[in-house]
Parts: sequence; structure tokens; C-alpha cells
Amino acid sequence: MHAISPSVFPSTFPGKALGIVVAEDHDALREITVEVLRGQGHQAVGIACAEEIDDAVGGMPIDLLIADFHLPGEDGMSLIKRFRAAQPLAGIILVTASTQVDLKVLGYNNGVDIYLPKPVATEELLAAVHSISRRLASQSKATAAADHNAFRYDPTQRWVSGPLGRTELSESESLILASLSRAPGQRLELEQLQVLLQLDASAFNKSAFEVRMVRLRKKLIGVGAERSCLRSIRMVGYQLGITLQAAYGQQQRSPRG
Amino acid sequence: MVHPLLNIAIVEDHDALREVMVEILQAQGHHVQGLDCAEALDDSLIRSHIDLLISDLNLPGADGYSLTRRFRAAHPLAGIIMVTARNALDDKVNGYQVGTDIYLAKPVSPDELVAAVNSVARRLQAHSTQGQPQAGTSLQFDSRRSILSGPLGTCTLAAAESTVLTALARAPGQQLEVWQLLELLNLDLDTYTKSTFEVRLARLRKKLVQVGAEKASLRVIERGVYRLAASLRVY
Repeated sequence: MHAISPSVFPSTFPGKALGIVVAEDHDALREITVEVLRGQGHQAVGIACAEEIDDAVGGMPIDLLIADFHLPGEDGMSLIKRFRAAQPLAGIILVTASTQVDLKVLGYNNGVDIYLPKPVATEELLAAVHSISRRLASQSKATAAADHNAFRYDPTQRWVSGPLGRTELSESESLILASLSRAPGQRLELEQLQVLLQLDASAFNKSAFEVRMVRLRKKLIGVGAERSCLRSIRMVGYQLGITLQAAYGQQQRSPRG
Repeated sequence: MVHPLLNIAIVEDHDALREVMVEILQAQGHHVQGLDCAEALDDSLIRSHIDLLISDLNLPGADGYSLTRRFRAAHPLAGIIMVTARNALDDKVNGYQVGTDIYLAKPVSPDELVAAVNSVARRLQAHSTQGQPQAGTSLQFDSRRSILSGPLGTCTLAAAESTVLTALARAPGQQLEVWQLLELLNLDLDTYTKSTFEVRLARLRKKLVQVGAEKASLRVIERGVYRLAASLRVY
């Protein structure tokens, strides 16, 4: 992989930010890959062996696994197999120096979505990740569209609607909802929310912020969400518990009766 | 492995190559139509639904990129495999950017083609069966909404519970040692007592039973090792 500085790539990632695990035993390669992915706005964690997925990843939801075939101990294929069994829709990219057809076939049959031969150019990896991100977004959009209790929001007109009606949002509420819905696992850390809302960290008032979130939760409950729609996760931050569909500029066309 | 059968369109202007690919995939049971140019796809789309488009990059008339871009815009969930003799980095990057799922360099071996198609088929099936009860699979977990569902209903999981359950689902043999679970939860191994942890897991077990899993679905199989005995899919 070419050592391209992450700053070369715009951090304005057009799609959804993904939770990504990079399983690669070559330290420098793993680190640069993680760094590049983070530069794109993804939440990326590197692991040096397959077994680390069991204890080192924490509670981060994994949308995409990028695994090298050769790993010390449990190999990449075995990792892919068990990850695929648990998460049928997540993305899996297999990276390997081998060009053997047998290995590719085995990979696809075990759940690989994309096979990339090493050395992988950074641009190619990012394009492949982008392709998976696009697909995951289409899938969750289709799932939300099939759910008639889905929640919709309009980030420009600033409203959110659900089965019980529609309510106006403040600018910061709209920003919080939009960001949470794009975040990996729909969760953000408190610090990330602070940065997002441009709150001064030194003067940050936690209880005032909590009041803000309680008010937003009340609005969501008002349009039909359950109490778990906006949850505070201890030691982490906040998680959005509903699926939100962006509905740009549909205010006039689809008034709720 | 049993894969669902797909409606496949192959756009390739090289006659012999197209025929071979059509034959290979037909032999797998798929419904395949071979087309020799991008324009032919428009006519065929009117007549049938297409699950997977396999396209060459170099085509007479409209090229593979513009074909792929158009097809992707209209079919966000379909599979797209691009096959091409050009293996330049820019081509691949462009290919992924216009909506390609899998990029295969020519010459493509029949085995690789079949495996790539099966990978798309598997994914399409996983998406279409999401949220539906499946034979042999009792539990599903919606990680975004943190909702666990089974034959008897649904319930919401706390963040730590979802971490434990997801980790168990993807662990080898769906089993993990207590220290691994503690590590995952960022809990101090020295001060955290086993009994407090067991209380936590008992609460999770209760939720599993509530949605229809057996009581033994989450249990200690030997000293310090927990096993998830139910089949769980995380979405």
C-alpha cells in the first residue's frame, strides 16, 4: 500500500461513516490503513491478530471488516467465516498477496464481498470501502422505506416526523439528529457532540447539555418514538435508537394529516 | 452451499466470451441473458427484473462506466460485477465509484466468476430475508435500534448487553471467556467480581428468554467460559 498522507483525501466523506475493523499483522500497514480510513471520517480500529476482535474492539458496531488472509494464529479466512455468520449484511474485504484462484473462490464462498490483491493502492481501498458504504446505505434506506413507522426528518426545513405527527427542531437539534443518524452504530461520543455544536470544552456544562438531549428525546417521543429513541450510553455518549430517513424539501408535498 | 437463483444480464461484446459466461452461469441454475451492447440492456430491462449486471468495461457505443452508473441509479440494491482486461488503478477506482460491487480482471476463471456471483446472491438473500423469521434461526438483533427480536417478541438491550451479545455471536463457537467479556466492556479485571458479572448476564439471559430463546441459550459451559447456544444474526 502506498504511504499516502490522509490529508490528501478530503475528510468530507459523502456517505455514511462506518465502523471498520482492520485485521492486519504488519504494524505499519495496519496503522496507515486505519489512519487513512479515519481521515475519511470512519471509525476505524486496527487489530494485529484475529483473536483481538473478541476482546479489543469494545462496543463499537462493526459495519465492515477488512482482513488480511495471513494472520498469526487464527487465519483471516476463519475470522471472515465467523464474522459473516454473525453479521450477514456487513461488508467484508479480503486483502491478500496471493493471487491463487482457489483462495479467491474460498473467500467469496465464505462471505467476502470484495477481494483486493496486495499491494493495495490507497485509492483502490478507499474506492472499495466507498462502494460498500454506498451499498449499506441503500440497504438501510430500503429497510426504512419498508417500515411505515419510519421516522423522517428534513435537515433544511428542520422538522422530524413519525407515526404520531411532526415537530419542529432547533438548529442544534437538527444537527444532532443528522450527525447521529450518520455515525457508526448511530452513536457519538460526548466530545464529538461538543465539537459538532461548537461548544467550548472548558466551559462545557454537562447537565445543561443533558437537558438539551432530554428535550430532544421528548420531541421524538411526541412524534411516536419509544423512550429508547435517544439513549445516553454511560462513559460513551449518545445513541440514536430510531431509523431516520432524510426527506429534503418534502414539507409542502407531504403534509401529515 | 445453496444460493438463490438470480436474474443476470451479461453485457459483453466479445461473442465467444459472452457465450461461455452465459453457459457457466446457466449451469449454476441462474437465469442469464447475454447482451452485446449497453443499449440492448434498456430493452431487456423493460421485459424483466435484473438482480445482477455483469458488464465489460469496453463496449461499443456507451461504455461500461455510463452503463453501470445508469443501472446503479435505477437499482440501488442490485449487484454489479465489472469484468475488464484493463487493470489500471484509475479504472478500478472509477468502477467502484460508479457503483460496481466487484471488479474482476480478465481473464476471469470460471470458478472465480461463479464464486463472485454467489457472493452477490448470498448478500441479496441476506437483505431480502432481514427481519423475517428463518428456519433454524431464532434471534435477530437490530444493532442500530438496539432491539433484540425472537419468536415471542422484542425487547431493548442496554449498550453493554448488546456488546456482549454481538461479541458472542461472532466468537469462535459462539463462546468467550469472562476476561474477554470484561475487556470488551472496559471493566477492570482485578476489581470486578464474578458474581456482579453474573448478575448482569442473568439479566441478559432473562431478555433472551423473554423474546423466545431457551433458558440454556446463554450459559457457562465450563469455568469462566460463556456460550451463546442460540443462533443470532446481527443487522
